[in-house]
Amino acid sequence: MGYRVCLALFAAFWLTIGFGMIDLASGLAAGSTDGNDVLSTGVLSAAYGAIAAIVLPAGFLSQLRAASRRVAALQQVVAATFAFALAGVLALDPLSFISVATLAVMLAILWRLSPERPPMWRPRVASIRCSR
Amino acid sequence: MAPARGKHPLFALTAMTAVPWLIYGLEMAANGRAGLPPDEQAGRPQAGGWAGAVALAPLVVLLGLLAATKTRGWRTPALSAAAASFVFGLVSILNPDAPGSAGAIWGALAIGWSVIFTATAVHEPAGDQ
Repeated sequence: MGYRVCLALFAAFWLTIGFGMIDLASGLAAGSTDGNDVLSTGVLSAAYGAIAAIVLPAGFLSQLRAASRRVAALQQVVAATFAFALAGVLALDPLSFISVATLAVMLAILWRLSPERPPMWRPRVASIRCSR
Repeated sequence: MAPARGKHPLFALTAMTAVPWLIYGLEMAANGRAGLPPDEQAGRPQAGGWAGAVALAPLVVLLGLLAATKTRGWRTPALSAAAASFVFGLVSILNPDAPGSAGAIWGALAIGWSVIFTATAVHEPAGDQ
């Protein structure tokens, strides 16, 4: 129950407080440049919005159906975390690391609460066979 | 559009799009390091501005590769990559001269790729979803 609530809350976080919907909408609003293209943030906002409003919520919400069978969805969130970290390093943008830290905390909470930890989280125990 | 065919169509489609995305990402990163306008939006504690565009570039490629590995639930990253590419392409077409825009032609190509990738993902056997 707590796991599902967290998934929903995390998805809602990125859509709202995480500026997902507003950035996506501002990018899609045609004519948002007001004739001053140099200062327009439309495309850049939409690029971030695509991550915060599509990729991250999709990753969290698809876990709601069957956590153990949707491991790729959480791997998707891990990939987004890595992408933000890479962006922080390449663009020298310290704010990206706040996104990285936020996602890391969310993943840690989900790992803690996960009712049936998907194989991604569970180390495989190799079966050792003796040939004696 | 017809779905791509072959032994590993999702991987092939991802490989096809990787180079343009990575070149785009490096270019956006250079713009960010140079501090070109528009500046980062004030009062937001998340990544944004140039860094958001830098993050999107490798993420689309990573999601495509993740889908190609056919891990359980692979359709989520497949459709997410396609949707993100579609949105980026659409916004680039709507704002061809804005900072971060790939322009109308590359925007159209991004949309075309997302449509083919979606069609291919939908036609692939779901496996253990």
